Amino acid sequence: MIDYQDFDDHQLMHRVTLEDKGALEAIYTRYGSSVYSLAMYMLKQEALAEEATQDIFLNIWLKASSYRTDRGEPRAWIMSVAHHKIVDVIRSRRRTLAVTDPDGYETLELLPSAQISTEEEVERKIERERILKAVATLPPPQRKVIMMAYFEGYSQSEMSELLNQPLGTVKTRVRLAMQKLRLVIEGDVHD
Amino acid sequence: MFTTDPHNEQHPEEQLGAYALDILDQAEAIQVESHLLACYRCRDTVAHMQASTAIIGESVDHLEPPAALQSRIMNSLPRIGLDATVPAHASSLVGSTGRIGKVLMPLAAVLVLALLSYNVYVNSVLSSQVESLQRESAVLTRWGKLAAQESQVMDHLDELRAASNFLAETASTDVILESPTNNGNSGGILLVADDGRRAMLMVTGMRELEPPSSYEVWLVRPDRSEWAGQLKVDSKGWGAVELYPPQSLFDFDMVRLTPAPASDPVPGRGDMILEGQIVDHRIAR
Repeated sequence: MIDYQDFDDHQLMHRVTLEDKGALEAIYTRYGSSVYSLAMYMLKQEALAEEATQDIFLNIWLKASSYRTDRGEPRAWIMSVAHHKIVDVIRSRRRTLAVTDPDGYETLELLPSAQISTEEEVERKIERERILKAVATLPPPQRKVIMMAYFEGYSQSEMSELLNQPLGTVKTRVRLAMQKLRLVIEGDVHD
Repeated sequence: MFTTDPHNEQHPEEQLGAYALDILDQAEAIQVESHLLACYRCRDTVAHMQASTAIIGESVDHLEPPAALQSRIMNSLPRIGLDATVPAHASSLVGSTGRIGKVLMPLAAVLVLALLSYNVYVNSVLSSQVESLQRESAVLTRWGKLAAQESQVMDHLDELRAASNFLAETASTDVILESPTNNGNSGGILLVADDGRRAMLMVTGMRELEPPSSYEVWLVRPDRSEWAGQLKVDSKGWGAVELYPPQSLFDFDMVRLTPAPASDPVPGRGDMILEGQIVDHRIAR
């Protein structure tokens, strides 16, 4: 009997490429809640969120072999696959979904993070709060485009229209904001 | 906009953030993606940016999914059959690589010399094949083919690109793997980067194992063995994997490939175990 709790994320991902369903179940146990929560937050409807979560784990099952260790941690890859799928749903249903007021992102308050259960969770919480703090310290126009892009799936040209700003300005804001977040995650920005 | 570095390489630095957020137009995204296939530096940048955005995604209020969702997902999983999902052109490419290996493995020393001598040529040929398949893959995607098909093609493309990169590194060390019992036509080659912290293992003539069994790569020295990775062999007996050992491969005496779980191998079957002596030639160079 294989105890999947003993495997780290990299080992689980590799076992998924070997069609080990137990490994995918273990990944679901670890990240199913994060994926579903993001789907609910962005799609705002239970049925859509469930359907998206199912598609996301199907994608993980089918595409696990395309994951490469030099492209980051499995957790980031899984959330990236999830985000990509959810944005696809949003874009295809743009007209029927309730859209968050973009102005709300200028005064974004940090959202509560998950319950802490393990040492790894503690480390993740510290990292998460570091990033969220960085997001919160972004100038409001930069924060707005990051949040609109991430949570609403707007392209740069769509944001340009919605915000009534030149496309070049939107691109600059995205670039500066992402550079700052990158610096934070690399530890170059200290509290 | 692409920027140029001192090595005269162009990098789409201004687009990487938007790429990580998945908000580029399709044409721009394809342009960046094709650059990423060949550029470790930009891949690293995107990986860091995606890690940042993933954390944003995890910051939302946590909700527990419905209990039935897990079983619904698990019951909906299709089997990922390699032969069923890889297009004919990709299979033939992988298959031809395996046949080349079968012929050349007994002449291992000659193979190593040939690889080193012709590495640039092989690299250019493989790169050309990779680019060609990449274009075909983009067409397949546009035609709405199954996601599995795309990922399997990309998987083989990545294997080929990784192999070609190693072949282009004149400072790599080669370790030949053979069956300890000299049974069958199995064999392999381990290409080790000069720092010993990165390697590419390619095997051929191996027996395909039923999932979840797989081959495991072990680094061996007198006091201990260390697990270095897992390898999946396809129905043609071909498999390849990149290894990133926690310490230099040159600190070990031998590399060994064994089936896992350990109870699985049939005694005496040489096509399920490979071994190779790691010899550090770097001082000689």
